[in-house]
Amino acid sequence: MASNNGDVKLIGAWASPYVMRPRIALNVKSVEYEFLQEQFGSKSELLLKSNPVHKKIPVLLHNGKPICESSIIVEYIDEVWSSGPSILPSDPYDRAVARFWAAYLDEKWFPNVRAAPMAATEEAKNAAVEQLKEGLALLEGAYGEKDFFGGEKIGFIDIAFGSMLAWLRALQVMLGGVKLLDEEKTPGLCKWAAKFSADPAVKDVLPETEKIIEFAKLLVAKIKAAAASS
Amino acid sequence: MAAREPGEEEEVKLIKTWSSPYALRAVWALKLKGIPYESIDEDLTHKSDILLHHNPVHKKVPVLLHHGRSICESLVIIEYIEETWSHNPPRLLPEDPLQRAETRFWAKFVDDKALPSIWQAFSKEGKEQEQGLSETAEHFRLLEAELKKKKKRLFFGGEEIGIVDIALGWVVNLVPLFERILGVKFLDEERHPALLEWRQRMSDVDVVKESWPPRDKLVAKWTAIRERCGLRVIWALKLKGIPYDSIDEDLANKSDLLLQYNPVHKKVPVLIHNGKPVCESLVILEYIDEAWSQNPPRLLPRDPVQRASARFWAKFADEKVRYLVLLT
Repeated sequence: MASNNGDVKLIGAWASPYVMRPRIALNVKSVEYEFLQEQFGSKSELLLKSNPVHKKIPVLLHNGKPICESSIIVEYIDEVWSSGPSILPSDPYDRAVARFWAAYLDEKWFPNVRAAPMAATEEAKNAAVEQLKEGLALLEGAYGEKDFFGGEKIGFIDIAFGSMLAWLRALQVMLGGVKLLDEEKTPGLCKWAAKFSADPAVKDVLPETEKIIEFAKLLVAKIKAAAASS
Repeated sequence: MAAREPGEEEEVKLIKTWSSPYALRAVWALKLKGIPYESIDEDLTHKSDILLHHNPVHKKVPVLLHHGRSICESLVIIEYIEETWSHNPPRLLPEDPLQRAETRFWAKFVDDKALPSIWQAFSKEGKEQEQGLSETAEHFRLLEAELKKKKKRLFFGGEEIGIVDIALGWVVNLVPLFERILGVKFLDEERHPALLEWRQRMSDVDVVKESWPPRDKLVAKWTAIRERCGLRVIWALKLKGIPYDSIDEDLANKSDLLLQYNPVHKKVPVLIHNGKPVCESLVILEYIDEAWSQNPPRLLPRDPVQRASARFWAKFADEKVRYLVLLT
């Protein structure tokens, strides 16, 4: 463990896309860390103490100090380990663009990934899928000529969006083969997805689609059981 | 966001509306840093080509135009201003990465939690409103605790105002307004002494003082929003040709009649039909459709699947449209 990085721990879970973001960011900076995985269905004392406001993962503990909220953690990692490859661009405008898309993904796009399999009616499900497709079309438009949103190497948007890839692929299967990433409609994103998944900082972090599908089934069952008993 | 256009000057423009609390954040940041800018005022019911061109994704304000390029989302704009004019005081974010992360956390908390909950308290009824009220109370408790932690309890940003103070600006002008319209208190001396002191201090900052949207216009706008629940019932009654008597309530002084007919929520609108009260606007609409089923038009379809669909879309529109109104 590289001791001049300080003590670095990450509270999270393998399946959470939000947790994947700081994991990828730490890999980009080659920072070793201890991954403290939460048990599915319960919250540890450490988590409750470190994130009393939201009680959610991920939480980065750097020399004992907690940092919460995945995008904020990634920015922190970029600023503290500034000698490593940079995650956010240096130009303020480009940074603003990167932050804009990260916020869009969190507020507008990802809620539909969760809503779609849980939808009570066909209508609700289709509405969620439509929103997802619209979002992907926008992202396709934002994807340029280079390999990644960040240019030659992965950056802030790649991490914000790419962390959702396993869930996106799982969703396509769970919805009976609906094409969200489409060779015809989003060819750029298809190419990007392959490159991103193969990146050394990402490879061991992104779970296999089958594992997410299994996990999603557990999660949906748990939520439905909780709803039925309330 | 749109790319640079040929011939655009190196000036700063801000697309905003007269009342948007989000746009006001950008105004304060620009003024605090002494950055001259041109205001482009929008009417969000008739969005201009400029807005649609520069914010095609959200079609919302504020949008900052600089070097012919556009930056959207108020907090992203503030970070952009801070980084681009980094030599202009005051610092809106701390220099230390850990403190920056904490600052960003609280700014995000305002947008992700505090604003949505107060909005829910203001615009909903019944159980949803109760939930909004209790969550808002919790959020203010957390903010009070956070402010108390600061050694010099001047601002969330320390001795000078920073991004979190700017993000919370709506507490200064909109919270008292909501309190008056709803007849509830969100902040009080006992539970929120630090926040109330902060509010006074914020309202004394010159840049803040001189930028408020006109108060009477705001009162009219937000009162109308709250009463929209009542408006839809009026529309339904008029569409069906049902004669009715209006009883106007002053929510700061609730009448015995209201307390008698809506003891659970003590809110308007309440329909009283042959002495029996019906509460909650969407419930009232369904009641009107059923009680006067012979009067056209049908407000809901007959077929159960279509009825479910109509209820789904009414709720969906309700949530989407109401939230959009907050942003104007």
